[in-house]
Amino acid sequence: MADPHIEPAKEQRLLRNARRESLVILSLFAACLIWSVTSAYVLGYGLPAAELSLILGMPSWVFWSVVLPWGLCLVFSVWFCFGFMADDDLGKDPEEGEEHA
Amino acid sequence: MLSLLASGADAVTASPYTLVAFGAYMGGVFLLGGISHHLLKRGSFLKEYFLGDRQLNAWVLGLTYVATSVSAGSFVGFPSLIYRNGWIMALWIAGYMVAGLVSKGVLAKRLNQVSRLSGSITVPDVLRDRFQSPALGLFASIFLLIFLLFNLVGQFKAGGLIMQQASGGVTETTGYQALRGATASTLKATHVWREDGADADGFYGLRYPDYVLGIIIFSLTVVAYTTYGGFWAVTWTDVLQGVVIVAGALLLMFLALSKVGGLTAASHKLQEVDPRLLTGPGPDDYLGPGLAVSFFFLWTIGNMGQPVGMVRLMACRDTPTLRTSLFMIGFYYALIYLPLVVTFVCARALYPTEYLKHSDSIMPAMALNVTSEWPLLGGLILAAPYAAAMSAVAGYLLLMSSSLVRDIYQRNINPAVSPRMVRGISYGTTAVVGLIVTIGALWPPAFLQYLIIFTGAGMACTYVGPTVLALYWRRATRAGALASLLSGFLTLSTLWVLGCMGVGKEGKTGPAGETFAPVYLFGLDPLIYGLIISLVLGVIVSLITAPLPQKHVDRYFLEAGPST
Repeated sequence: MADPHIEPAKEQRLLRNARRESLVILSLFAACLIWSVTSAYVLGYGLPAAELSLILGMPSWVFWSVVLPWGLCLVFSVWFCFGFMADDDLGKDPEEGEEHA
Repeated sequence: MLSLLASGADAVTASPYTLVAFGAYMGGVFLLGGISHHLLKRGSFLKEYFLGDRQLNAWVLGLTYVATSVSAGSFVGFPSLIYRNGWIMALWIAGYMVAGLVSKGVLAKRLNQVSRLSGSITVPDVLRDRFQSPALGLFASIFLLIFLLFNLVGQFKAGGLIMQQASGGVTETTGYQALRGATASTLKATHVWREDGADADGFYGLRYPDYVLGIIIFSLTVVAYTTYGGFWAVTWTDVLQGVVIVAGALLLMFLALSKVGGLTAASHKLQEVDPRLLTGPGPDDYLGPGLAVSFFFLWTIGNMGQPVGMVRLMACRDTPTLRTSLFMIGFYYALIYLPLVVTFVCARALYPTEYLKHSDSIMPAMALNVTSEWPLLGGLILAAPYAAAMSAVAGYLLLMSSSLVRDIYQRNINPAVSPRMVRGISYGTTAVVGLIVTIGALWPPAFLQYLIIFTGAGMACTYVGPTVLALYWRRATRAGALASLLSGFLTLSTLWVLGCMGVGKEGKTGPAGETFAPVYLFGLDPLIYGLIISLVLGVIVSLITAPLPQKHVDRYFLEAGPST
């Protein structure tokens, strides 16, 4: 929710980074949600017992809809945390008595 | 002693050694509590007691965040639902694949920064200062207290059940019999329980005094170390508990797989028991697509709005710490939830019907059943759910205490309260809240997980909207934030109250048919409606009300603003 009246240069660097990182995270969230629920619904809902196949001992729809994307999310988190997320100065607490200005 | 409330022939007796392992774990918890109390003697009491002086490093932050969010719901209620519904619970919990990033990554930096800018130490504190609104802070505190009270009852129930199970090997000893006799006499004298009640095998039957004794032991231990050591005690014990939780979950999975003969064998057995245990939407249409979407939101966006997690983000030392802990939290979740699904699918294969009547007891029962030859190991595994309940309770107790002391008393009633008085009230409120919840846990709800879901969704609907507006939108006003907070709370509460009154439940099966469950409008959990209404109203009301003074807002949004 950026405000067009604010000069980008004046906005806090941490705020800009946090907003950029949040957008990436929320995009990942949307992708995972759509993948998991849609594929589980297509592959695993109302499935006749005879058509059920197992992968690594679990129903194949569990593997494709939950376990595989879960693994990919962990790989993504390595890139996000160590390759994308910026370091910022979090600031200092006000001295005792100065807080709540 | 028979395994808790089990009617099957495979129930096992807990050994005294189980309690020895359990005791060793408790000894570690108290040792850490004692060290933490020693640390409290330095620095500002409030910031140290409630926020650890913002000095959490990555490992500690990661483990404390996980230990607090993985509560009795995850370790007692969730296994119960897997046992009843089978593989569909993998989709139910799937949101945890991104829960670490979503719940922490979106708010962490800004929340930590804004809380430092204003000197805030609680979430209501942040909202109050950002919007210059004592009313907002007060409402945020009161709602927090309401939700946490409900949640704590569930955690105490789990603690009582597990302690009851762990004591199984010593029930014939004189000491235990004396304690049980005293508990039973008190319950009878206060008309809480009748020994000749109709349902001797039910929850309030002959085993009820053992459960109550379990609650008393649980509450005394957790209230003692929380009160004594404050944030550091809770955090350090969280680290120990986080390790115990992960180790317990993995160990239990390997033992369960070994006992059932592998996951393929377990899945084949489930197919014989009930083919619906392997496909969606599960038995009794348990998880329709709408609810699958809802739970994905609950474990991610919902977790974002949990004040107990937010406080830990505020306590973080710096951004390298944040990055590392963010990565670790995702791995911890994977190491806990996927093994739990596997373990309790195996449990259903091993015990197809034995625990269906009292499925909340399946976790402790399974821990003892698969370790009958290694009781010390059983004690260690049983310590995992106990640790989960303890760490969640400790975090919540501290949050409630901070809410009462800081947000309500110090900031609304007596701003000039002395540090000595603050310390006394903090200790006192932690103990009193513990006592109230202990009494509430004498009559707990039948299914733990629904209570946890209600409070989790409630806090999400109440806090996500105002917090996101506070941190990311400079045009947000105090009226907008208040509208966001109140509408989220009211939407969720209304749908839950209507649901508990039986509205819209005719002919429904699965969660929608449960007595203690909300109305699922169009198959979606109230969380979705609460979040949408909260955010939309927050924006609309902000746009039609006067903005906050520019100088005040600039402080939170611009580099080196005029007032800094």
